[in-house]
Amino acid sequence: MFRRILLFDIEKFIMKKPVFISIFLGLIFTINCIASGDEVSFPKLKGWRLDVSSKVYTPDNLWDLINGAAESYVSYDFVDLHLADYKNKAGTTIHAELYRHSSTENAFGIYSSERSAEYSFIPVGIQGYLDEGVLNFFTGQFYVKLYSTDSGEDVQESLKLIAEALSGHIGHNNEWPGLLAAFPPEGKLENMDHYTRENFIGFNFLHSAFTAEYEGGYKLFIISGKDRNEMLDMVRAYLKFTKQDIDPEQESSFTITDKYNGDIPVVLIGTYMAGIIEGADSEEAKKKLNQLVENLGK
Amino acid sequence: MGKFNRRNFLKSSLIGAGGALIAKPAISSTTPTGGNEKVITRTLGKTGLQLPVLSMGVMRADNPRLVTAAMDSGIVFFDTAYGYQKGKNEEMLGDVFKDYPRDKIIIQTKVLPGDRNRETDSYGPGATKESFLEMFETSLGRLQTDYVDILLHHVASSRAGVLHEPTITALQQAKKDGKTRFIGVSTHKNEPEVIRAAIETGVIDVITVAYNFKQDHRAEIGSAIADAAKAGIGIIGMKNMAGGFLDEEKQKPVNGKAALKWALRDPHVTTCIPGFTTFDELEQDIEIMTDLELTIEEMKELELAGEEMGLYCQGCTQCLSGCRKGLPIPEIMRSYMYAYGYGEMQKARDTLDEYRVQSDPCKGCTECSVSCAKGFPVADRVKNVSRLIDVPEDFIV
Repeated sequence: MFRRILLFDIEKFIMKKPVFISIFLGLIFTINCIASGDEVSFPKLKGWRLDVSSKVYTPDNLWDLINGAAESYVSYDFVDLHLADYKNKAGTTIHAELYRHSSTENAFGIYSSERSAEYSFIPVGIQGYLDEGVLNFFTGQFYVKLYSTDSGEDVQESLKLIAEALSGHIGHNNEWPGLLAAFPPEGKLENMDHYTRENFIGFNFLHSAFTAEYEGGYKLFIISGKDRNEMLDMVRAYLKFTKQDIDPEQESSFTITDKYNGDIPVVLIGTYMAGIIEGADSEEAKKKLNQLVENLGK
Repeated sequence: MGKFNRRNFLKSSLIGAGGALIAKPAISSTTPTGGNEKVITRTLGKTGLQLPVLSMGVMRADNPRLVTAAMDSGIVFFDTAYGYQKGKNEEMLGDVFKDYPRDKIIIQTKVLPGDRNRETDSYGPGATKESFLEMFETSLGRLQTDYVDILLHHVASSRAGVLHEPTITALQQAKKDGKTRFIGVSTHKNEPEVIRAAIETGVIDVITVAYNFKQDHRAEIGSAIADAAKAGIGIIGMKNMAGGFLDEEKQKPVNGKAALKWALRDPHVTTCIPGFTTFDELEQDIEIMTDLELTIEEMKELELAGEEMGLYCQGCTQCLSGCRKGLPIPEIMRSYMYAYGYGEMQKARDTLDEYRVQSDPCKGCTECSVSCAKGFPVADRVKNVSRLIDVPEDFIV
């Protein structure tokens, strides 16, 4: 499946034809189909043969591998994808895919977009889950997918073994995105929080939003602007869409009347807009929003 | 390539640009939609389903309100897949649809057989009829329905893939059991080959195919679509926005309405499934449901897109007389297309070898005297792609 470029082959080639070094390097970076990335590597494991794919996928060609699903990854500022196979003597093969994104927030975003609260979660990386022949987790900027077409208990154990090794190898940051801690914990449904990088609740002017779902069916959200002005621009765009005459510099708490998403109470604080979805009439939701705003102000 | 090759298509397109290309598409029927406007509908091949020309690809949508807004706008056909958002897409749709009469919604889902080699579109022993049907049962559960209207073999990209016997058997079994009304394949790679293989099966009802104004082989796809339609197969268009941007820097967005109208100019395309994720996109796209006429202005924008992003050399040979080195420029442009358009390095290198292109072929020329009818930066492309000659064969993947 994979073609390998051996380091000594490259060195021999470079030694023999030094004049072509720059041409060669230029070509491989330009076309991006030949060389593997220079920063990401896979750990070697005793008893396992490691085959690292020479092909590294970027936003320009991810589509070649995973077709339309690439659009979701690219929307979370996907950087590159590195592939490898681990094979042991018993004949088990574990395929490893390392999707690198530009930040922990974006890795969490794509991870959480595919995560279901019903999965069997395991402590690997920041969080992971295990299913038959599949183990996915995220750590730092990486969303890691491991899978095997083989089955059995030993395969499940192998998945965990390789996940631990990969997490230790690439996981330099095992902290959840900081803003998640601002959501009040009481009544919050586990593993139902998300990060949406763009087109939040169907609007292209709303971006960078964390959401958490609560008992009672409502959601709280935090939209984070790069600075206060950018956040206010988002609010103004929203108010323009809803045709509401509100000056967000003068009023910090109001309800947006959205013909598509319903009434959305919001509070503006610093660089954040916090609000409620599907719970405008809920006193409990409003209480939680106040707690959220308090936490954001700390 | 068949009787309709790319070169002839491009020539005929250029000749007919002023008239034939803006002709109104064939309209099979109209359906009232509450207001005075008429929604344009077409028949999906032998399925007999009457569908508005605009439908929804739900793939990236995660807001149920967007789906209900689409339904309120007259959209009835929704496309999802077992694998989208690891099943959350189907779950979201199921939660929305449970509040609507089932017979008012047309649901298409897709299952990708397991144990598939993604690079070769070949299947291992794990890709069984049973595993396919098991995944499909999971989809039905998520969608909270007893049946879907169309079940597709997801992302087939070769004849062998389409003819994979366990998958065809599974599709037929699902249809026989009443769990899907119709069966088919989806494809966005090697589309003509896949379409012709689907015809060959004799059992396929529907093909969902990538079809847009920027595809270099769009004429071949159009020709295959016509053959499929002749065989009674219904055609659904997807990826019509061609990535959404004209330029690599993503600064020039594609005119979405024009792109959809372009695909629907083909009367064999029943409906298109743009994957809108915002209300704004929905409101814009919805306009084509009652107006499919591609204006001259829109046509110009799409032609401009073709010129700006085109990698396909039409072989007019205007360049040949201008090259002081006598280089086979059309062939070098073809090699460039293989390398930079398709990522097929070996094919690009073989083409250069076939025409005996030497290393640094422009050496000695200080200024390029070549003029290209399509405005390609010929000297730059020759320089870039000819570097492949210096790369040893073993290094080319």
